[in-house]
Amino acid sequence: MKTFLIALLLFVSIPAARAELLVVGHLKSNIENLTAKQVQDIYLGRVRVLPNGKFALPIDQPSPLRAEFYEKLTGRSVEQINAYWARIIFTGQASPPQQLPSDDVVMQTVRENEGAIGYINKTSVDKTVRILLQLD
Amino acid sequence: MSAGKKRYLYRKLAKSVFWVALLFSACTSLLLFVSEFKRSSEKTVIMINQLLDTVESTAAVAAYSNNRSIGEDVLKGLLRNDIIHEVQLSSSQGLELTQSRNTEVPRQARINRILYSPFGDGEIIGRLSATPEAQYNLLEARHSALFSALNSSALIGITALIVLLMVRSLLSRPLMKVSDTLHAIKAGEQERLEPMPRNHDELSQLVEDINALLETLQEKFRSEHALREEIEIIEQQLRNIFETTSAGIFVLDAAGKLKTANPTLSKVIALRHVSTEALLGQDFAELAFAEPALVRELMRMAEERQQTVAQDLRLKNHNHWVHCLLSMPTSAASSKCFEGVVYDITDRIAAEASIRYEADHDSLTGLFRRQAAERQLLNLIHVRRDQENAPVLLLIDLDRFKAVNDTHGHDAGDRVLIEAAARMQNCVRTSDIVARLGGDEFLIVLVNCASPEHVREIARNIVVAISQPFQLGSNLNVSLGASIGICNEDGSGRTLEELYKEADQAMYEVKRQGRNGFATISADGRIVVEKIANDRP
Repeated sequence: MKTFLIALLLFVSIPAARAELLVVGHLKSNIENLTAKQVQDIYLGRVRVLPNGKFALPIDQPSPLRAEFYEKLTGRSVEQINAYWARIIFTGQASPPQQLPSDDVVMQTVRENEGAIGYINKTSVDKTVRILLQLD
Repeated sequence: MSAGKKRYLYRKLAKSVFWVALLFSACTSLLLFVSEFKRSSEKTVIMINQLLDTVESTAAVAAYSNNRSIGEDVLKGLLRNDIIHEVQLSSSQGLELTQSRNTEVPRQARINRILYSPFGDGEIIGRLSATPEAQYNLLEARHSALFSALNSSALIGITALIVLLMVRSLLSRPLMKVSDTLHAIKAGEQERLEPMPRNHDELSQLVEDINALLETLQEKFRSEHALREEIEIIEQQLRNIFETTSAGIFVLDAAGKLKTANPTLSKVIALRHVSTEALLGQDFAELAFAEPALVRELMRMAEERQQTVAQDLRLKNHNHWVHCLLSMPTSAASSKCFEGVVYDITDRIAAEASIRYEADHDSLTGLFRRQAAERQLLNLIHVRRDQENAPVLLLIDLDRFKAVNDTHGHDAGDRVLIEAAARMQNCVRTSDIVARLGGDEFLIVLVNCASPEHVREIARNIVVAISQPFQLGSNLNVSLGASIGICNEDGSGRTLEELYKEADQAMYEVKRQGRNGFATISADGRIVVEKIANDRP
């Protein structure tokens, strides 16, 4: 059953895998780029601040982009990420990143908040945000 | 009571079995305790590892997210297990959590688990560690050891009890019975142990052997008894002989003092009035013997020759004689002593003396016979070698004796011979030898005769004495003469025959010249005759 699900998941994600994801941040932040590790720590709530000392505000997107993002970032399925968050949420000490409906909303939020970072399809990017990390 | 003593063996066995079982049980329990403690510790480690496996992912999340709440939940969950004493969770971001039970036990090795990031990149994010609960291990081990101790004690106890009962019924009781019976049996009695024919074991063999031994013992006793009776009889016989024998039996010590003697001894040595007991301790030689020196010499010889020596000894009293045999036993382990026997030989000595007297003396005249005279003469010749004291032979023939015999009969002749012998003896000293050679021929040997004159004097006296008339009856007198041939034993080594021959020649010359005289032979061989006037009636 489990293998079947994994197989199905792989099948579903193949077309999406072609797409390239970009992690973007506010232009004024004096951060040139971030490593995958730094991005992972921020998104999984391990690190609360950005390297420049600003409070980090990570932004999620709905699946399948979310699944692809975490898959590429951590090598874990979105279910595992959810399970992880479920444990944390239960303690009431932390909460998962806020989920926004589309690339455009994400772009908008990043433009408006200096500490915000988000991920979008490569095709949706423009000069208003700074590209911090590219995920292939 | 001897039962206590008998049960002692059995009790001893029980005691030793009990102590050995106890020791064995203690040893096994201790061993089991140690091994069980070790096993329990190992088991605990395995179990703790399994528990850590269970909570590892949650702990990793807690460490990753630095979430104290999750971490505490994990630690609390772990501590619910009895086998864990203390748990720690630390993360690389500075989270440090510790929870522990408040028991005081020696600390044990901590089991560590490295926590990796739950998100694939293998980053070490913290450490989870747990310390095993030693109390739990101890309890587990103690319980197990106690159980085993009880178990083995019960097993050993039951085994020991069975062994004891077996020993009691198979060995102790029959042995006691045998022992009791044997105790009641006296050596040499007819009684025997009851055989055990059913079980052919060591015990029945023992009983058989004991019976055989008893049999042998009885046999020995019987033969010993018979032998003793025999010895007693012999001893009694010997004692009777010792006490009633006519011989005196005695033992002397080295100094010659009387040590033991039979009752007869005092009688034999002519001390009738003294009991033998009173003689003990006295010097034997001085006691009764006429010549104690002879007894001492006898003792010396017995010691020197190491054999029995014997001698006739004269006693002090009543002219008694005893024959004394004396020996010195060489085998005697004790000090030197003498054994001796004396018996009365007075009668024998007397008989011997009388026989010798008869053999030596002429029955008619009481003078020496020819052999006795010659023996004494030879003795003199051998002993006295000096010229001075040379014996002198006087050969005497009675003249006209044959006529008296023919005319007046043999009785008259005999009376003449007796009278002539008496007269001749009166003419010489008692130490001189007077013998009748046969018929009317006599021999006189003068001993220690100093001078020829003295010899002639004696010869003259004899001729004169014989020429005196012999009174045969109230009215009957006969006259005789004497012819004497004299010969000096001068030490030239002449034989008795040669001496006789010379004397005979001299005497013949006297007869030829008319009898009643004597003749000597001078140094140049000439015969000198001296005639005596014959005053015939």
